[in-house]
Amino acid sequence: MSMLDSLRYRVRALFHPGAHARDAERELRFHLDLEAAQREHDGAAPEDAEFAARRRLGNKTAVAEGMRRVAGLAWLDATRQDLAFAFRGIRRAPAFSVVAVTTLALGIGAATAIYAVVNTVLIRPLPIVDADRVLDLELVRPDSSHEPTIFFVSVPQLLRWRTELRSFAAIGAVSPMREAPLGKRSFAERPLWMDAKHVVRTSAVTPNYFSVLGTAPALGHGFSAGDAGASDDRTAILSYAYWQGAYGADPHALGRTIEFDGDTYTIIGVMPKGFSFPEDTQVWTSAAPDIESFKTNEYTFEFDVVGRLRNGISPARALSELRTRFASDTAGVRSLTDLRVAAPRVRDALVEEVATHLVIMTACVVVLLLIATANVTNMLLVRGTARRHEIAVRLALGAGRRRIVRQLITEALMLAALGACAGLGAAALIARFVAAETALNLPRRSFIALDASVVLVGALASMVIGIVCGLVPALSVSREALETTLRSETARHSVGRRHRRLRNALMVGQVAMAMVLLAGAGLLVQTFHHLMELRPGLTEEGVLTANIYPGLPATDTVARVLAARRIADRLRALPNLSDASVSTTSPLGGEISFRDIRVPGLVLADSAKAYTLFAGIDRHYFTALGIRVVRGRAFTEQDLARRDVAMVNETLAQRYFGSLDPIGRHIIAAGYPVPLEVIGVVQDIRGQTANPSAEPETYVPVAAEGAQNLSLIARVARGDPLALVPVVESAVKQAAPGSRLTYVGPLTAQMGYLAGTEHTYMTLLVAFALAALVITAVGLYGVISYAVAQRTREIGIRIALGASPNTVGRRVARQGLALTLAGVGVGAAAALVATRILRSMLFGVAPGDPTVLAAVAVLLAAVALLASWIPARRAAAVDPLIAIRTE
Amino acid sequence: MAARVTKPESQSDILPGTLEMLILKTLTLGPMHGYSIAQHIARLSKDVLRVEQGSLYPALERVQKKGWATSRWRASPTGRQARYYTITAAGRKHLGETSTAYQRAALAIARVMRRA
Repeated sequence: MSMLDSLRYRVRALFHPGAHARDAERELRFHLDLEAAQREHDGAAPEDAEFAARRRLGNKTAVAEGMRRVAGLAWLDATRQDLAFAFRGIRRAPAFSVVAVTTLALGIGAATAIYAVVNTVLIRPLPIVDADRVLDLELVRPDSSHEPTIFFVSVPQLLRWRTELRSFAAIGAVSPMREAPLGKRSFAERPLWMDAKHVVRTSAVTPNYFSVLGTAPALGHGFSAGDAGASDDRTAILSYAYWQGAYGADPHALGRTIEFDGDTYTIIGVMPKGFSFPEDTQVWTSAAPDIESFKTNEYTFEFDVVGRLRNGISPARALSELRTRFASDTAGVRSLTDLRVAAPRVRDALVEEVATHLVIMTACVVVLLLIATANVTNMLLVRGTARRHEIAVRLALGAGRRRIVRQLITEALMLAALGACAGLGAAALIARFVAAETALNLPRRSFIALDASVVLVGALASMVIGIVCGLVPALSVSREALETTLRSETARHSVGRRHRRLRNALMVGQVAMAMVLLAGAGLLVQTFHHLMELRPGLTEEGVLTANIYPGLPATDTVARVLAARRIADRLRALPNLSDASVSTTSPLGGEISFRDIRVPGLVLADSAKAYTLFAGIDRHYFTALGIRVVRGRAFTEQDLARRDVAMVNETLAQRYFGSLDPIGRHIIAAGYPVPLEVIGVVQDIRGQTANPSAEPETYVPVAAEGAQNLSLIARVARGDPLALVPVVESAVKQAAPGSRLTYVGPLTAQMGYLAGTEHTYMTLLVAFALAALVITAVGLYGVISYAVAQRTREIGIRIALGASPNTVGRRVARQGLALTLAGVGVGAAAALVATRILRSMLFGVAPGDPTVLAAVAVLLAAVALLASWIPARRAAAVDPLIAIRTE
Repeated sequence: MAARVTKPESQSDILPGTLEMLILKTLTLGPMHGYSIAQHIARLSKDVLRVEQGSLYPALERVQKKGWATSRWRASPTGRQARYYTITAAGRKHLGETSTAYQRAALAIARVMRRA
């Protein structure tokens, strides 16, 4: 019962503070009246009685306050006062408040956005049951200079692993996602280039893929079972988001049909919300038809393979079994160069390539947040000192120091709260930008959002920042005020000195941190610049690329090549197209093919294997792409009919032939019955792999390499290559009826994609660094302005005594420059160390590159000079008469 | 000499919790308003214990907060509304505990004072 009474009392006190106050007032009044009546009754005069009663009661307000303190309301009153005080303070200095809030908003916004990304990508659990038991089976080619290249797995390899590996309860596979054109009619009758509205992102999965991941369609059922499923399976499963978007979450969507790629699929299921492997897939189809048609193809790498561990088997044991099996694998894939196997957990494999990037981004926003915090702390210090008199008066009037500190912190907290509100808005924008950037390869990026947990973390962080920003100035200012009230004017300078040292230290730290961020951004800008510069080796402008599906059996190489060649010839004859050719791989990316080679007489160190990229090409290939033949000759018509000739690129010639002239010499390629005679050397092109350096590459006649995949390239005479799509479309129809093109697009789009990751990270980091630069400049401006305001009198005296305004201005500017140079020095040293974490993202520039550091230092110094120049000019303009009269 | 019961937080003159104990003891006689509680304590202690309002009313807030007493506004004999305090069952229980402890302590103190 006591609990209940007590609770009732507390609730009433807390929620009806007004009623509590009225009750107390009434009760004390009643007491006073009774006491007075008693005294009157005892014989005192009425006014004496009243007065005595009052005197006995003492300070009625103090008594009421005592009651309120017990009721727990004093805290509420004080907080309300503090808030009102803080609000007045913020309104009274609008410029100051806007700058402080903007600074905090930038810091909090960036940090919250990156936290939202990290939370979604790295922290939130995957929608996979028992995700620790699901491994990704990978073929990896290590690369000492760059991140390792991970290959997809061929169908025969997948099938061998399925039958051989005992460590896995089940092994499934998924093809990389691709954009298939949506529509009812067959492909050839529709425009080739389509925007996102008209495509659907699909990937093919083995029927057991979903069960390996421990999930199943939320609606309907999975693909027909069996080891490989039905090879004529034309059923489709929708993602939850696609089902909602395109079908309005209609449960009757099951059983309806969806057309894409010229085929009709029956919808049999909808996956649960949040399931999106591979990333962004909208529709899954059965991989059974692909598996059937690529059953014997060791060199087409189609699949990402996942396996669920058998009970009681550790990941390490599974990996060792995989290694043993792979080492004794005698079939095709081992002929590939230097390939290893790896089996990371799916969870780790998903974030493998992005984890480092995210750590770097996190570090950047933390630094930005620190800069913002230091800046606002400094601003509050400056402002607090300016309010010293006001605070001294309040202290003299009896406000406790603790109370003053509390009020100043409340003000900082209010600034932080406003900053958090604006910052969350900024965070939403940044998060949306990141979520829309396909180039970042972030897993689950479509789920990046400012959810409740992210907002909560952002709010908490803002609160901590508010307290930190408020506490340092509040303590220091209140102490200073306490001391100055009691001391003479001269004594103030010693206090001011300690204060100034703190401000200067904060300023130097801020400049140093900005320097680190700018250096990081500078290095990424350099990297991007290098990547854009070295990519070519070919003239990519005005080239249209597409994959050709000749509509003929994969085994009929001759007919397929002839069909593709007819298309290229027809295109070349068109007036608007200057050149066209056919190859087995797209010049930049797409499917790539590696082979081991032997070069007679060549001895390589430490049993390394010689390898090369391999491409079959047809006539006009090099001219169409603008690749220069540097030695020997390009394939002639006679060469194109042979199977024993090859052209190599400069990297191959240099790496495996050294100083020898490769022309007329031979290379022996795995899978080729006869040695290949090198007849020409061409320029390097780059971009086929993730490695930005050029790879050794061998070109053979297209018919010799086979025609599993055929790519078309066409160069337009002038203008936008996409404008010619309808012309190309009708030419393809006429030249080879039954064939169709996919992945039509400008070659430049592929180039853009290749450096897209670097470009996006560069954009983000540059944005953060610029924010840091602006914040620092504003901070410096504030500190110097304040110093000028403080020394107005001294400056006035100097000018009165004959110092020229220019000298005075220079002195002030010099102070700003000194702080900046100290910061730049510290920052440069820090950047030398800190930029090392960028190493894996850099190309063509080393961490701590002196040119970048110097450029950044100059930029920072220039901005700092500008920031101190404005207050310096103000100092120079001081009117000595007015200045000496101030204070 | 009057022991002035002041400064409720520090309870400088009498043992902590004593004022609350006196209030609760007084309330066992029946519901009472603040003035009559003070009067009652003064009268019974022969004016030795004169409770100041600055101590009394915060103490009354405290006993309510602890759940030892409740209050409501009622008409007093003069017709004016007054705030009457009523002891709760928990208050009686607490009173029993503290008065036992108090008596034991008072006895102990008395013994010490006699000997020393």
